[in-house]
Amino acid sequence: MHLWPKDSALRAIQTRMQNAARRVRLPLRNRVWRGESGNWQGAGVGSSIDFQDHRPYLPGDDPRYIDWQAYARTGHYTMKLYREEVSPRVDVALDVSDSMFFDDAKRERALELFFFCAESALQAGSSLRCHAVGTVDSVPWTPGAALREAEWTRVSGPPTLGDLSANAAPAPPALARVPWRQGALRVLVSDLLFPGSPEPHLSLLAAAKGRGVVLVPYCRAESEPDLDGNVELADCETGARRTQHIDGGVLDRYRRGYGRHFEMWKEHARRYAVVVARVAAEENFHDALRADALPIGAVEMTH
Amino acid sequence: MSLSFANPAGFWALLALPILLGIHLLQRQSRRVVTSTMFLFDTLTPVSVEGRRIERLRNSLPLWLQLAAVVLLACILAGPRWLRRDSSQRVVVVLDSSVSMGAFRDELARALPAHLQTLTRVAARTEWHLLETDPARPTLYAGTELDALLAAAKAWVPHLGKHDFAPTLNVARGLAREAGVTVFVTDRRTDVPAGVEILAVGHPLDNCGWVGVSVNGDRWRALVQNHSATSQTRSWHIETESGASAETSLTLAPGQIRTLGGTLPAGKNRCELVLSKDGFALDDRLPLVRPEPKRVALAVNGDKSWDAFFNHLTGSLPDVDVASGTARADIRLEARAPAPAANPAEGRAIIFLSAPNSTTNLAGEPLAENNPLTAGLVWNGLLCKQTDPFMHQDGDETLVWQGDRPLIFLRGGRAERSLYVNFDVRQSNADRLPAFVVLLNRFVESIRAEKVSFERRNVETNQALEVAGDQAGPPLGMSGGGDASRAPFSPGFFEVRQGDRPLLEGAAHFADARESDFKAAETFDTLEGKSSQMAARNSRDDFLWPVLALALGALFLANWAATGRGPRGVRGGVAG
Repeated sequence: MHLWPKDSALRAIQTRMQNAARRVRLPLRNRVWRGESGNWQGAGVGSSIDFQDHRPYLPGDDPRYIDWQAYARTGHYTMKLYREEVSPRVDVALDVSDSMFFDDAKRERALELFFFCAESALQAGSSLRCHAVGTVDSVPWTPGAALREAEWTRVSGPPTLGDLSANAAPAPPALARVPWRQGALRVLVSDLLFPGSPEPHLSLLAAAKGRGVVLVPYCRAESEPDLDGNVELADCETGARRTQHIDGGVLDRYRRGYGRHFEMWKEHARRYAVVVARVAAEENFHDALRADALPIGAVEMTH
Repeated sequence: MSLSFANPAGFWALLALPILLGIHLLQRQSRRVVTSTMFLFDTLTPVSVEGRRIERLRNSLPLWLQLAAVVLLACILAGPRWLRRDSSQRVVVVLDSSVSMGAFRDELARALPAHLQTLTRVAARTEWHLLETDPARPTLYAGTELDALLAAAKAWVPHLGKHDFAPTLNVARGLAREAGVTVFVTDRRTDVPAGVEILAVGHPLDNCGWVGVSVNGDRWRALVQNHSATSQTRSWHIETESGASAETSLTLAPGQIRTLGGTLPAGKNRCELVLSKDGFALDDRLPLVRPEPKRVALAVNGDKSWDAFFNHLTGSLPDVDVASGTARADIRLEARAPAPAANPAEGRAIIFLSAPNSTTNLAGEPLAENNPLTAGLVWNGLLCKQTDPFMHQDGDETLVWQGDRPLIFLRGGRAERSLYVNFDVRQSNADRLPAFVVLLNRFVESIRAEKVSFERRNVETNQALEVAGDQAGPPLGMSGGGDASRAPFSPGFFEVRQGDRPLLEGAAHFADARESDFKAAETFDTLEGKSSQMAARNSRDDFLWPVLALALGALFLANWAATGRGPRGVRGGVAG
């Protein structure tokens, strides 16, 4: 059963993130965007007051942008071009696999990141689309609205009854089912806790001139598990079980494996110009962003 | 300097090692944890088999740290100390000479080296003394070699019955002085003077044995006792030089004494009652001989009025013959008138005063002198008539007085000593007074004892023997070369000879029932505390003690960190 917060809790998170988005926002600055007209510098020629270039008139050009003063001087039709101002497209996808919600702190941080992205995009005047993505499908999702059971089942598939085989691994989110828009800032909020190569997923974020940002919430139970002795581990997604004796050596190897997993993601992300930032669940939201996301450009200060 | 330990009991802490290993072997009950990173654990090994309680020991750092901590803790608790090079001690070992110790010779051989080796380690130099509680015996060993002491103890044979240990223990304490140790080796708990440590090596034995025998003519009667706390079944038989009788089974209740009787084998002067063997062998065989006492020849000299008295007297004396003449008699019974003078008797005699009838009783109460012949005898009630007495002479030794009259006295030297009865026994009630009859018997027995003649008798082991020999002859000798003044320590037959002349043929049997009772025997010692005390006196603290304590603390901290309970920084953070 998914521990989805109550509406009041969601509203509280949304309110907090509205305030947070006034100080920190998604990395929209210093990039050329495409999209409908808006407040951000676009890639094409538009009607802003920012001069861009002169070029000879070509048939079909808008006669409103003919530089008549230049025609008077030279006798040639010359086009005076201005920078286009667009509204950036921002696609935000929230991984709704069970691993995102099994821990209270991590669940709250995941939702905070999602609402932060949405509020940041809205405050920037972006064209925002949100999606809830499960292991099977994705659904468009309005921030603040609770996901219905049918939608959970649709995106995550039928609930597992507990696959007791120790090799049953969690499935990756179905990013291919998300209708990413061309040239959009594609933000994925996911813990990335699934085995396999990151390349198929990163390529989807970078495809069609998209710019990918992955915000990875994590909790201390994952990075520094407080385990000792004999433990029966149960996978929160597959229900797979495993009896494991844990001592200092095992914990050290686990931590190394955990670190290697995210290093692998970051290394592959660099090839696709995707930014992967980890956000701790137990810290203050701004402190957590400042630790990793802000230095590597996953978010930026508004001023 | 050599290393010693003030508290060796601290090494009991090493018992924690197998317990610790057991804990590590015992798989703890798994607790269930929901995780999102199961796929990362899949790359780790090993995986425990579900439901299995005991699993292979894992070679982990915490295990080694914990094992090292236990060893270090045991070392600290044991209190390592360094012996001073100039330290010395004197250890006086006193062996209990009671024959009951003979049942635990093997235990003694095992316990003595172990405990004395412990004492060796508490001083740089040890001077050893080995005594036994028989004060008549010399020191068994004195020196610095423990092996020599142990050899002497191994060769030692206990020989005494129940006796007082205190004199020897006091001598031992004085020998050990304040800086030494006195160890009393016995087989049961006993009170000892302060400062004496006990090393008891006994344990209860189910012992049955012979406790006494009497032989009257051909008939013998022997007592056998069960000294144990449980019912015991034994078998017994009679052995002679020519063979053995059939085994007879015998069941005795706890503490029961049973009398067995029989007839000596015809034509045999010696035989042996044999009980089936048990842990204490001394009382399992009872040798006995057909008694043949020395006979005393009596010559009677008196008128007819004395016949009745003399017949009555000779009839009451055991093992005497009435000789026809005085020449071959060992002793004469003679009635003699007091006047004109009592001449010294020729040879040994009992001289009775024969006087006219009198109607006047002697005044006063009879009073006995201190003499072996009168010891313990009560003379009250003796009635004598006032008659003329034998005249007193210088050298007479009065035994009994009444008023100022010597009633009974000895006269003459050792060879011609005679007993004078200085009142007319016919006019008195002396023949009905036990003291008078016993006195006469004692006098006759003293003469019998001094008579040089062959006898055969049964005695107890280590019993003092009085064998009369020819003063001019060679010294008396015991068969087997022992001391002729005492019966052998071990049960068996023996013979005392003077030259070629046999004087005594005897059978010594063990009859000290107190030594046969092993119910109170036990094993314990009070040396442990003394060893620690001596070690503390002769050594100084280990200067490494603070280092050991710090190392133990470091091990605890390292184990705390290694088991994942320590600060996170100790183990390093996670990349990313």
